[in-house]
Amino acid sequence: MALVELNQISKSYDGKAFAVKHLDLRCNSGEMIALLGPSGCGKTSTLKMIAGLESPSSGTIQFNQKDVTALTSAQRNIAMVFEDYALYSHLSVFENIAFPLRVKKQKNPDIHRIVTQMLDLLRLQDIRDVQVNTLSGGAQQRVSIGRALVRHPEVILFDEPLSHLDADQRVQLRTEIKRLQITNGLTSVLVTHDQTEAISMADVVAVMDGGVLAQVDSPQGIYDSPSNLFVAGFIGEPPMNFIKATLPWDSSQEVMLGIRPEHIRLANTNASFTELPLQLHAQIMDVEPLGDRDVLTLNSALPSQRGHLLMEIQGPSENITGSHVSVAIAADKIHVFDTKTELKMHMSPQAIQSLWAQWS
Amino acid sequence: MVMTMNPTPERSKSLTLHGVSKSFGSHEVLKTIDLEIKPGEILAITGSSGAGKSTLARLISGLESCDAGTIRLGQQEVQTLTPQARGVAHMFESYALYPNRTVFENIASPLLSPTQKGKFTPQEIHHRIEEVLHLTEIHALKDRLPSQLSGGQKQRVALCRTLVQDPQLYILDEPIGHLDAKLKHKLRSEIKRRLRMSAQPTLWLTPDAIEAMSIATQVAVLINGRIAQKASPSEIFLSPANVEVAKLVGDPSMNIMPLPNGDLIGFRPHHVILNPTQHLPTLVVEAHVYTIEPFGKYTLITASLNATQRHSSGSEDRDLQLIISCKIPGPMTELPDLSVGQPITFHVLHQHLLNFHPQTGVLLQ
Repeated sequence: MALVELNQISKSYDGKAFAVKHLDLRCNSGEMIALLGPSGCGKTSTLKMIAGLESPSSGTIQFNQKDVTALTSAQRNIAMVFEDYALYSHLSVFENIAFPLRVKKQKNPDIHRIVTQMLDLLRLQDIRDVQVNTLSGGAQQRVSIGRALVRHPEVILFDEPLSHLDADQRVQLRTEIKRLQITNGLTSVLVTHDQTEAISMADVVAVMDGGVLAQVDSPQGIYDSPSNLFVAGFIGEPPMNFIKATLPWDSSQEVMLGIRPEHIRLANTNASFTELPLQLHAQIMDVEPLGDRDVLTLNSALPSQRGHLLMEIQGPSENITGSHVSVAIAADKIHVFDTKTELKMHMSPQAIQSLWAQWS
Repeated sequence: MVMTMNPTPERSKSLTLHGVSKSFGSHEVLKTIDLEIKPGEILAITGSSGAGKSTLARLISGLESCDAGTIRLGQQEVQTLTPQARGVAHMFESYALYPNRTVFENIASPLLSPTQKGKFTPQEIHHRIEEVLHLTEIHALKDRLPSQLSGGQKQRVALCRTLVQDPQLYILDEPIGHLDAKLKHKLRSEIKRRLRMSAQPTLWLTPDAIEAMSIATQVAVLINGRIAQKASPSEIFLSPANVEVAKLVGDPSMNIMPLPNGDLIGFRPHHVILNPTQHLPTLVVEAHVYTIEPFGKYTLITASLNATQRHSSGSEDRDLQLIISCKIPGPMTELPDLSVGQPITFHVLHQHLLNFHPQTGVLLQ
């Protein structure tokens, strides 16, 4: 498995607009990197350049410190797992996985041995002779992963591998891919628009926005310390609350405060409530029971979007729409961004507290 | 921009289904369905694909006829009425947009049909359409044709075309399935507010049980053409009628485990604890770490049960018994160091265990 490096990669399809701009990325051998972002952010163009399906307009791509920029897809020894599986629908599970080996003209006993091992690894033994188009989406995607792995590729590229699956199959396959990736030390690149998929599966998450890197970090790092407004708003479900404010001590400085819904606490359920300095009165506009958690929509005096704040608490709770509540937030859980540069700012809890005073 | 929708008592009618059945050939799709939805109530029907959700919707709106049973709107039996005469606003899973009409014209179409003539003034029609276009954030697309829209945008047009009407009943078949997480969240609460203030009953169909709980007054779980349970969202979650309902509702689904004494128990992933602090009796589970998945605000640990704790009951899916999911609140950085393959011990408080009948899978009280 290879160490994959992208150095100052740019891609323009028309010579004017850039789909990808000055991208530096590194995926260590045996790790999974996720390219995450909304449609049009450049993640798929980047994947195609790593695969050798597109050539970069400038910059270099290296596998194990060897420049592969000029190599074709076939010369790079990569494997791809596609959103729509791209299996040979008239062939059996066994023959789909055996296909790359037959192309390489390997001997029958070898093919049998290698494919059998793969069927065991992916728990496909029971359906080895079934024609793939009769299988569920989850099983088809497992077959396509098997077909990718038998070739012992340097890098395995996953292009939205879970997006066509039902919820329960998605959860199972997500876990299976993660397990395979770790136990087999697969160097993998995952492209996804789904932030929960990216942060739960990958070792490193690269968030892209408009062709440039918005942030690269560990999944927990991305979630805990988003470095700009875009990442803060993109990561997290329900989304982070944003509150616009002008600093009382510097009227030229506008900031955006970001509060994650799970960091807002209800007064009556938290013993240490009095220690939380940022308090607020609010009215519950909506209760969404989601099983083990409830999402409440609050109306408050805070200058948040539409005057609404989302908070997430353990569920099922007894809260009722229309009732008035007191809530509190720990100052050190608040993110601050400069509204002009959209970048994270550092502000002391004391400063946040004095800013808060105008609303409580 | 807020539209006034005061309930008009003389038109507020409940939807009542009694003993409704439907077969296609020898395949019994729906088996003696009983339901009631009152005006302003949202009944969400959830179940996996093929459970019979869309067929039920088509029976109610008159696109299929029942083999047995009655469908009433208020006091009136409607089985023999044409779809037009029933006055149902039905949003189809397939959208069914007119390809040669713009977004605006598609949304206007039900308000301009012969049966609706004179119901709204042109100004009212315009106002209603503008309002739903803004609600679903597709105002900028109103002059486009469906072919110029993405899947999620088409879904919003179909949703608008349903919400713009003032029908006897709303039927929404997977109305927000193809939208991104943020828009989904916004529309869920906005639509819920509108429909609960409205004078009509609403039937909302979705394979996503979490979505069903989030919007509904009552949730009905449809399994193999039968209603396995109908209850409030919290009751469905806390006291699932049987193992199948328990597995369908929850993210991730409930852990189901046979015990050596023959009992079949279930527990929710968020009830699993690593270090019990209280001196309360717990079930102890010995396992090995299978994967560790960070989700930011919580960490999901899956673990494979040790051989000594595998007690097959024969009828259950083998894989589901072997892997236990544990949802640990807080960031991964607060967890002890864990690696794939290492042994791990879990605890579940006895008060959080549910007992199911080992053969029938029915919840035991």
